[in-house]
Amino acid sequence: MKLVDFQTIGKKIVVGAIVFLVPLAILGGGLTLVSYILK
Amino acid sequence: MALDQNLKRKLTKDLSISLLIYSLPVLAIYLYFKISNGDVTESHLVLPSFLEFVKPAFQNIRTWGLIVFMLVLGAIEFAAGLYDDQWTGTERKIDIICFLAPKLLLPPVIAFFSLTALPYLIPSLENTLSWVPFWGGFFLIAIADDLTQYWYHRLHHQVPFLWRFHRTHHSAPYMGMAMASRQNFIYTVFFSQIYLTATLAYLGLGLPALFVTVIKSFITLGAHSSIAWDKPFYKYKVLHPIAWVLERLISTPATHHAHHADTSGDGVGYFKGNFGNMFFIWDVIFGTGLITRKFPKSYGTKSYKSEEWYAQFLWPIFKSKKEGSPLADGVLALPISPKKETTSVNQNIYEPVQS
Repeated sequence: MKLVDFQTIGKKIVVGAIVFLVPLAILGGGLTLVSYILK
Repeated sequence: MALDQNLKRKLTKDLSISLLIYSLPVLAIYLYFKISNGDVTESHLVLPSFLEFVKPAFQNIRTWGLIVFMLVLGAIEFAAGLYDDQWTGTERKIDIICFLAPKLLLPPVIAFFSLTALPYLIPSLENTLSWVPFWGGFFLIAIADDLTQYWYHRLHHQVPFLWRFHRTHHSAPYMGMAMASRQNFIYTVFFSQIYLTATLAYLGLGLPALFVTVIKSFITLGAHSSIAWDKPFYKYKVLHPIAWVLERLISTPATHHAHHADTSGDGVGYFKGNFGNMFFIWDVIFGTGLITRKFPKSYGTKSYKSEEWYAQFLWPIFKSKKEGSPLADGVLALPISPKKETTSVNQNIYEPVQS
């Protein structure tokens, strides 16, 4: 494996992390807000 | 090809719409509690009585039933000769390794994430969403899991440097149940939606997650299978209204086979779209869908060189030794923002993305 391969895998992990974290933030944050408002 | 301005604009617009879609189940849950004066301090995550008796079935399906179902389906496909003579030694090896390896290697990874990483990172949040009713959790997980997979999948087609992590899924010149798990290992292990659903399960939505993942598995398996279960819906006029709804709501063999075609633009094959996994409605919303009720004549990708199993399964850790293979050493993806000097593309060096 060369440096460029590690970079490709690294960039791929970053994209995957963003695709995971953005919906989690909307759903988790949204439901926390709903719970706070309704309490 | 590199991401052009139009594609970038379309991606930005569709991503913005997605943020609204993600928030829909949250809004629905809020309205439900507001209208019914529900108490969010109590746990509402109980299974409706009509689903109580199927819960053990779903649990068994998830642990071992699905694997048995896949093997039976594969045996039927094989016996029916649906692979023709295209299931050669290389393809067999890739299909079997891609079927077995994730089933052995992924559970420990997910178990570590759910049982060690999450309790370490967010110890106080376990079961904090148990106030969400079952139907709300089901709606939320179905959207969250599948829309996230839609984006993960679509980006692997439209972003050049990601394509070769997904190429293995499109390399086979045939369709079958094995296609559902035929993936490069790095693509599978970093599937965003499995970590999202695992996190939501840790937060208290494990029960709806069980039902969603089982239903989703059957739909995606059915969409990849060479047994075209949807054909009767197109053949008999009385079933056409059901077909109209089905093909827009979920992935069917017709729409998903079109995604695996080796052509795009012939009116049937459409590897440039039909990215939906469980739901096809994402393709309808974002304009990436093509519904024809027809099946492509040939599948795969034009750049396929029947690469070795290790290159297809583990690229870029292992490279192909086949001449002209996009998985060979020294082959680069097209840059996302090409500099002026790279506009004259040498196709022998750069692999065009399949989008």
